Amino acid sequence: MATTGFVAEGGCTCGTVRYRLDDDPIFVHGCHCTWCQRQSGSAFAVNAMIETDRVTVLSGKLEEVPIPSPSGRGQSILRCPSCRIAVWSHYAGNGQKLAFVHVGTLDDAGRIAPDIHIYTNTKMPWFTLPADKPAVPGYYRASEVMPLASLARMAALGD
Amino acid sequence: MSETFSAEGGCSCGQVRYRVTERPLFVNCCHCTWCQRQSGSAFAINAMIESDRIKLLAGTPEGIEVPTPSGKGQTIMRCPNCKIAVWGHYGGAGDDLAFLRVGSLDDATALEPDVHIYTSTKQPWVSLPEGKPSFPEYYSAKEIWPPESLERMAALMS
Repeated sequence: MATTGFVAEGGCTCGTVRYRLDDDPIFVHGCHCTWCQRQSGSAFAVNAMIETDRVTVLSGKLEEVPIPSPSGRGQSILRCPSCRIAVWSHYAGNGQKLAFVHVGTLDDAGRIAPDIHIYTNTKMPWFTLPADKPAVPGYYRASEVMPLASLARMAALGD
Repeated sequence: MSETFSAEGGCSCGQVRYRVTERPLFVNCCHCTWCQRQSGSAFAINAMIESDRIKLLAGTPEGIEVPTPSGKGQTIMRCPNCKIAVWGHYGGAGDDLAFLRVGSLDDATALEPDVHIYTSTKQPWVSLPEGKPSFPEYYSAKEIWPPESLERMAALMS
């Protein structure tokens, strides 16, 4: 497996769940949809998309909690069974092979910034988007914004 | 007296629903690494309000104890079904004061941060809004809260 040598660790807030990203993310969303606002309790979610098999669980056993999603196809949130902090999600559209890692749970969350801001039609009005990243009112076409290497990784997941 | 304010919110699955019956005391946007981990995002937005001004309309949140940097702990109130957090209580202020997760409001744009705190660990790509105070760590409420919020807080702690 060709990787960039990127490694980052993270975990929940009580220390039961620890994980490691074994590669850099495919693509990182700053998602301003109202569903992500509710789930995070904040103004947006920061989700790093990565192949689930490139996330190594170092300690703890994750609890998978299914919840509804606006697509109607559902989402499952992986949480620490003790402190309930969410570390990543799977969406029905991409299945279990793709993880949306909640970037705030990384020990050094500042290493990963959103590559794109999505659903900015429901962005909180007081928050100013960074000028140097694409932003779209709803979702986007991966072929138009993802780097070629990321598109290839996404395509490989679908095989 | 304070103006009329009312806002409803809840979890993702609909089991827990609540109504806030008065304008919050103050709204903190907290950029500390603990809030980043709890939210999974770049910061938390917590509206401080007397717990008795949150009326439960449906469901009963379950309290989950988590550690805090102060050592006094926090209880995060979550939907027992979908586990989404709706508010928290901190050991320092006790159960009478709720830190409502603003993103869980049906119209989360109804409240915006009054202050940005722990900006020493702010994500580098996040820019702070002009016109709002910000502090590298915490702050003294008596220096920036409106008098009526200070009075409500004093009444709560008496």
